[in-house]
Amino acid sequence: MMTHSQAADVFNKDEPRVDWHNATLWNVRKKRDKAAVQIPEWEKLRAIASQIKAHSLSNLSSYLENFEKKASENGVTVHWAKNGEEHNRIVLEIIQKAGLNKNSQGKIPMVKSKSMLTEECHLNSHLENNYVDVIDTDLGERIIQLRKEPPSHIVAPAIHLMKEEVGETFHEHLGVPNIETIPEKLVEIARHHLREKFLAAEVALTGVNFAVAETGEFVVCTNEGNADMGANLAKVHIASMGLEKIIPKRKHLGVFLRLLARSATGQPLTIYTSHFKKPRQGQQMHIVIVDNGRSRQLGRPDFRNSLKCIRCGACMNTCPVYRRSGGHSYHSTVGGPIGSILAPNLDMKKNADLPFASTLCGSCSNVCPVKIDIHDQLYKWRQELVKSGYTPKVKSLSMQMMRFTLSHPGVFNFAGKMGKGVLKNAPFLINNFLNPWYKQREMPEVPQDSFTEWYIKNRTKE
Amino acid sequence: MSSREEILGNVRASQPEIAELPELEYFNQNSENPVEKFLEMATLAGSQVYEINDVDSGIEQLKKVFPEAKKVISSTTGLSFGDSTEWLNSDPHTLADVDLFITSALLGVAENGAIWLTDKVLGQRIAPTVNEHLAVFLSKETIVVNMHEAYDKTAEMDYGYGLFLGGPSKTADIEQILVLGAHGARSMHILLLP
Ligand code: SF4
Repeated sequence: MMTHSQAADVFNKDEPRVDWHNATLWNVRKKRDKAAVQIPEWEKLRAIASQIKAHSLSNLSSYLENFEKKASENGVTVHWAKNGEEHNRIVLEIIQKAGLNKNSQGKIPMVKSKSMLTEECHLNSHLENNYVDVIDTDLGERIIQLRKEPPSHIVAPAIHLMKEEVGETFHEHLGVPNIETIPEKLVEIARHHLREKFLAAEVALTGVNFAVAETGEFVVCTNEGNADMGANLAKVHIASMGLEKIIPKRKHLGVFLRLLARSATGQPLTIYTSHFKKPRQGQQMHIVIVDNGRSRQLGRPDFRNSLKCIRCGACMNTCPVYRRSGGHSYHSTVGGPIGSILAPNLDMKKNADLPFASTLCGSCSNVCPVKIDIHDQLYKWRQELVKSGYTPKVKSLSMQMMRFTLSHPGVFNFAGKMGKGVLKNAPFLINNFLNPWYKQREMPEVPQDSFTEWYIKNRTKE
Repeated sequence: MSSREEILGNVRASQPEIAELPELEYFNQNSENPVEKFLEMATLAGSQVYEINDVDSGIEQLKKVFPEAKKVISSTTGLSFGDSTEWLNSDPHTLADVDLFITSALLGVAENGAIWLTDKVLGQRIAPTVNEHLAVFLSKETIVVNMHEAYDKTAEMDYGYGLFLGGPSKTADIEQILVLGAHGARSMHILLLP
């Protein structure tokens, strides 16, 4: 497996594409800014959201029990999974026990709306191996499913692809005679293709954005309506949720929903904000509550705040490193700044490079709607990884990261534009990065490392 | 020990000392005229909004917009347009060829132009999504300023499925270019009653 920095080097070979990727993501970030300034109470909302999450996490076991009780009273079956494997086993069991019809290939047809958790658990391959035909129905996810690629962004899974590539994918896999490049036409093709799948599906799986302890209902947010199409047609609805998705009361949804879409895409609300409480007549509804390392993260005081994340993607859109290295370079389901905090908890060894894929400029923490101290946690992970014996690798990685940053002026310019201490604290760097270091695209070995330490020390004083 | 016990035990052992739950505010003072704001935001989200005086003129409007609609169904009784009874008990899959679905929303939200629907008013949960076009009656009186008020007003409603619908189905998954009509309704028409 390539480290983030190696993968970023590959991504950076195609400069026009990097510029395009960078600009696309930055546009999303700008939309977020425009939406946020229209809400005078924005900062207050962020603070309240953060406090509600802090409270929920501090009382999580009771809220989980309460949620289970209410959901059961509503006629929903609640399951518990310690890890991805158990989650996959439970999902397959539900499907196999429901007595569902098979398609002409002898497989049970299933539609899935976006769920990063099922990506994390590698559910699709498990089901495919057991005669379930899994179709991802979020347009971006369907595109990458056809291309056999992982998502590169948690909100826009195919944001790394250009329309010509989508056209080629549809030509190759959906039997479209020519290579279509007009987005409207591509969407129309996908609409017809997926409509067939929705109508044929016996079972639908959705993710969960919020689960309300007070009422036992859960909320799923989409723009396309694919969760609703799936769940409201199929005989069985399975919802997979990480255990941190719990919020105490229904009224708290107002706070999070006002923040989520604005932070994600600059929209005031997702088009479909759907509340599933009881199964419809004759339907089975199941919720699988998954731990998979979350309770361990909850026990790490330095990192537990990462469980507040509502998966808006704003920290990725704003991150100068993400924008210039691409989502796939993070070799983890959730990439970008937040993914780099979550991944080492799942596998410290494999993901030791990720907390170094950052300039610690702090832009992520500034945009996060639930005020997670993302860049501080990244810094703390670096220390933790060193303590836990990943020093040699880490040292070289930190140097690689610095080389990446300094050889990509876009990344660094950004940090400068943020006016966050770089100009103030590192004038010598600003004066110099355009000449010897940049031209050479190499850094002298010794100063590089000491600079990293020096930079971090000064940055974190703020 | 079951997974449930184990997970809850681990969570209990890991969770920090109780943190205080903050008070909520409504943030609804000094807000702009909610009806105007609703019109602006719904239009921005791609909905067509018509201010009408009564239900009949709303139906006239719809007939003008959809002169060729073949299969029209409605969950609002007493309309002179479409079937409002037979479809209620049919298999949801048979609704895939509906041209126009007409319903009534319980509430509108000014800050985002969304409307609140529940399975009780929809008749069938799939109805607002599987059709080609959607029309919704909404009374101006029910428009609230923001989501805090919306949750307050809907707190006592009984539903198995509830939906804030913010406009026609859309996607920006291809190069972030906005396209209407992803999977759900291609267009949404809001008929605004006094
Ligand atoms: S960490 Fe914050 S900004 Fe990043 S995805 Fe999560 S909620 Fe959004």
